[in-house]
Amino acid sequence: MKDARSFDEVLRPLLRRSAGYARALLGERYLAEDAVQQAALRAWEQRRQYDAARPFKAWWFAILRNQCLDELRRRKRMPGMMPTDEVYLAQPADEGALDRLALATALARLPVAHREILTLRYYGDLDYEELAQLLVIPKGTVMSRLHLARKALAGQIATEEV
Amino acid sequence: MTPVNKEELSALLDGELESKRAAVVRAAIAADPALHAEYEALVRLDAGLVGAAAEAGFMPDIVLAPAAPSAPHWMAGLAVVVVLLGVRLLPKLMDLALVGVLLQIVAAGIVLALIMSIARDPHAASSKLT
Repeated sequence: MKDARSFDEVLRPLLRRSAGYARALLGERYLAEDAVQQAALRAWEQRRQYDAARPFKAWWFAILRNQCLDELRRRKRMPGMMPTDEVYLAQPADEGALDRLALATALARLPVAHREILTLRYYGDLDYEELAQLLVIPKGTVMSRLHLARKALAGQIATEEV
Repeated sequence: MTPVNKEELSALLDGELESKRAAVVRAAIAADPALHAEYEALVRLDAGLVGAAAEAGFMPDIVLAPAAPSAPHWMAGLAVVVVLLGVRLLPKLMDLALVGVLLQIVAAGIVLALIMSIARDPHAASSKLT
């Protein structure tokens, strides 16, 4: 991954998911795009620090996550999981879309630790090995944290439905 | 048989259990209605999250990486040193003033190209994603 071409080859397939993950954390599409842009430049500058023995995806998402957290700190506001741009709010296409909106609202109200592992798992599409690398925890801990987060989310949805 | 841990329901859902253990957990789910209901609830939640994540994704219009310069700066520097040495040494060896003049012109051109290369914005020649 020393040259621009190989960097492009490994990063390009991750961009759609990366943008979705950043959007889930930052709320706005333009903020997500900017965060991915800044993270890509940062990753390019730090590419020699990447250990090829480890999953690239985890390394990349660690950079993107830091970029998003920096942005959130800079804006001094809580991360919102509910997208606020018009594409998302104007036209819920079907009943499933409405359910997803409720899901996003419940997700936004979870404690940070639960929300973080769920967004990385689903929006980032990271597997247990990659999550363990990124969060610097054993795979067994990933399993238990994910289960707790899912239970918490299910509880939050049930609370809001009442 | 080791009893099924609730966390293993999540791991089964994520495809993260080894095949033998996954078979054990599936059998336990089939045999226990309460465990089955819990697993089904996780499956529904998972489907919702997968859908939400798919909707949130989009291809960002960003610059991915700066294009590599045509030649590394150290190579240009080395070329300058070689030419400058040539300027100094070749006329003495060949006793031809014209050679010295020509080499000085070449050296000036290389130095100018190097300065322009360094001054150029590295992001200007970047590749843009579409």
